[in-house]
Amino acid sequence: MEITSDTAIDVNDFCLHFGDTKILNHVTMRCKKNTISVIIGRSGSGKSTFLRSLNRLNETFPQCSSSGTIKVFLKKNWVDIHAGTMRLEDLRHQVGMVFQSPNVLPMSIKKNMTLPLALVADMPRSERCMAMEQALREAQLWDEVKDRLKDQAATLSGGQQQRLCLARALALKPEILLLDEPTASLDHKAARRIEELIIGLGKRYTLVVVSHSLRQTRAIGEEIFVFREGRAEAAFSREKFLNCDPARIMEELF
Amino acid sequence: MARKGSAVHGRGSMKHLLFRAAIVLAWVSSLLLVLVIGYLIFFLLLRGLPTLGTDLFFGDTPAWAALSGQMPVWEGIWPACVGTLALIFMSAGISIPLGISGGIYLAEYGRGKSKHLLTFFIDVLAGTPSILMGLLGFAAILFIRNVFGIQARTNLLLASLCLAFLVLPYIIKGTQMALEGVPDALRMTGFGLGMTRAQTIIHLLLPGAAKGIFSGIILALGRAAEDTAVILLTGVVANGGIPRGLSDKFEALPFHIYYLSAEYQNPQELSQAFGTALVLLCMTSLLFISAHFIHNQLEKRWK
Amino acid sequence: MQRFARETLFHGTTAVCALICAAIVVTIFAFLAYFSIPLLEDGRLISILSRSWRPFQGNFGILPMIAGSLCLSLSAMVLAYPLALGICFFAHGVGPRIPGKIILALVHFMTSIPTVVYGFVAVFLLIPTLRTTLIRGSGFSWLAASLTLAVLILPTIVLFIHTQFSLIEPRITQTTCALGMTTSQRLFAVTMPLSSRGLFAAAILGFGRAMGDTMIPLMLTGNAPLMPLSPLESLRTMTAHIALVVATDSQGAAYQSLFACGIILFLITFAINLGLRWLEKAARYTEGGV
Repeated sequence: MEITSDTAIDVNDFCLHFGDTKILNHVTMRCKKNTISVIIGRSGSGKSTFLRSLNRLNETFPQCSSSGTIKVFLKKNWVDIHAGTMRLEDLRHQVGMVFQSPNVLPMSIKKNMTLPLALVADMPRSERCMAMEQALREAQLWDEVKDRLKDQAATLSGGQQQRLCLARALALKPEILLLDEPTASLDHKAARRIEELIIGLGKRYTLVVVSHSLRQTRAIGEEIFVFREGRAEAAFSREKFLNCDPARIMEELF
Repeated sequence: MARKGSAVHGRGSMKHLLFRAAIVLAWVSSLLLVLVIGYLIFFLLLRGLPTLGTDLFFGDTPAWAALSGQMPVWEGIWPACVGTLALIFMSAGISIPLGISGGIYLAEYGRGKSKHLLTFFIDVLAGTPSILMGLLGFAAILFIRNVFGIQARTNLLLASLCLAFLVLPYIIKGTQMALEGVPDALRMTGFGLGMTRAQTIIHLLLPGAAKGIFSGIILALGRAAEDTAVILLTGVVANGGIPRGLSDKFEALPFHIYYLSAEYQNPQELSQAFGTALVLLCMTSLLFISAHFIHNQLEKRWK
Repeated sequence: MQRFARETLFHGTTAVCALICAAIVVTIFAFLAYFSIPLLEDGRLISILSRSWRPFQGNFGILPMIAGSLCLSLSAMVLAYPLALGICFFAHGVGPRIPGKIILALVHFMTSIPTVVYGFVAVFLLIPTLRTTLIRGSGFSWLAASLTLAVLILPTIVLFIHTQFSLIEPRITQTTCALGMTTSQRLFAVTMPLSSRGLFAAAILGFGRAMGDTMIPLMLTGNAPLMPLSPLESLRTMTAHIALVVATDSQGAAYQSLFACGIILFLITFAINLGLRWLEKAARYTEGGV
């Protein structure tokens, strides 16, 4: 794939080490704007680490070193995320993340939403409630929580918590959203709900999703990347992937 | 490994004897401990309880007049109580912000060699005998006198400063351990959202660490209340009344106990000593129990 | 962006505070060194390390005090250590469960008893007893202070050994029970050897704690500045010496002995600290994090 006006993320020859262990091995790939890109692969293939490289969250772990370039298209400009022109915190503001297990803050539902708005988006108090409602609606959670905003977020079900985390990320108005196996810890029904949400969001945001299931990938993936031993081994468009023989994919992956 | 039923005579019996001795040692030392401490507390209660009352604290002065500062207290331990409270309060005021900040730095910002070095020096601080902390204050006064010619004297401020340094390790360790006990996931969430490290610490981590920090503070308060060596060298006196300002001499409960034990003139003063000892013991026990209570609450929270 | 400025300020403030905390020991050493410098002048060092402390005759030897500190601390540690071990055995299975927990709670509680209270009770309970039974004279002696100091440092040693045992016991209890070992066999033959470094460290810790105490020597030893020759006689420790010299407010030469004691005390505690650190590091390498 070439860089076109369509590209949102451009990764070139990216390597990552933790101490002496090489986790990512010359990864080169491009993600399109307003598209759902799904990354699949065996466990240990570096998918989650790669995702975390996109918002430089790996650097919070000790002894992390990397080489190569990652460029993202934010606010109508290309930014080399390692160049230092954009502050780490601003990068993470505009590249949102949802983790594998819902990591709600030990506070009320309302505080979960308004705290990041106050601290990261610098939003004045008068605007926060409106932004919170908007984001909760977008995550299809508003109707379920609007009467219990003061309750502790931990009292929500797993699926609701994950949607809260999604809403929390959306409230910060990112352009790119990273989702790390977002339904891994949820039951079937809740997982389906999140997948529908993701499909809906795919038109407005650039989404990069790490998935653990082929079924999910077939359901939501528009561009599919296969990771193996720290490399992006193959890339498929949606049609190609759906027309692929499942047995062949399994072989390639495992 | 000798099995109980299969001890071979000769070779087995020596080890058998040792194991038996260990059991005897265990029971004897435990019983001895209970006896000694039990008798200590019993003795204090026996001689000290009868003395508790307004007489102990205020002597002949009426309680209200003494508390409002209208009349001085001559025969009571109220000035010593005030002195000790002042020391606790002031040393806390210095050591708490300093210690919490230092603990935050070590837990969240420190890396590699510099963290190692800082931790080392703070460990040395923790192991420094209290008399040396008092000597620090004393030396400082001597230094100011010799080098600057100012007629400085030891006083409440100096003692509070030295006490603050003495109890600093409790607060630093309490803060550091409490912060390290907060799950890493919380940090990742904060950073993932784009919060700065300061924001993550203040809004996410400190609320979670609060109980541990508080526990460390209470340990520090208890230590400041009971220490005698530091204040011996930095301005405590036997009869100074209530300190009017930071540059005054002061009385304190632990010193009062020591002084009376060595210099009591009559049975009344001896009784007063027992009462004071009981009062101080109650104070430190209360602090200990509240620290223990908070610590237990903390254990339950992160499970 | 305001929050980035706040981040820098926060980072800077906490760093400065950590630095101040670390600098305190350095300052102590600096003052001690500064006031000890006159000692390096012609032969004063030798005279300070002499056996004779007679200030009015111009003798400021602190050797008796150094010996006093070492003898008192060592004897207190030797008294306390076996008892501490016994208590840990009791709490780890030799005794029934509930009494074991009560004993540990009692030991925890002991840490809150003020040192001066220990000394005070000893003055009115222990000294008279000694006076009538063992000692001719006032009763204030090495023995009295040693017994009381042993009680004081007991919790330090117990809690440290208890932590060591608690790390090891969960791993080996099932195995050893399945092999048919009794509790005391397990403790003596397996747990103790496995925590040998920790046991050694506990002894050093107790010794250090005893060296650093001021009030118990001050109140119970009699404070005679003589070489400690018999447990029934009086001695003086470095810590008590510092307190006494400051209190008596004598001439400048006596002050030098004070700072000499201070520096020696500092160096000993510093060495103990280094020793403990080394032990910890060694334990981490060989026992794989035990």
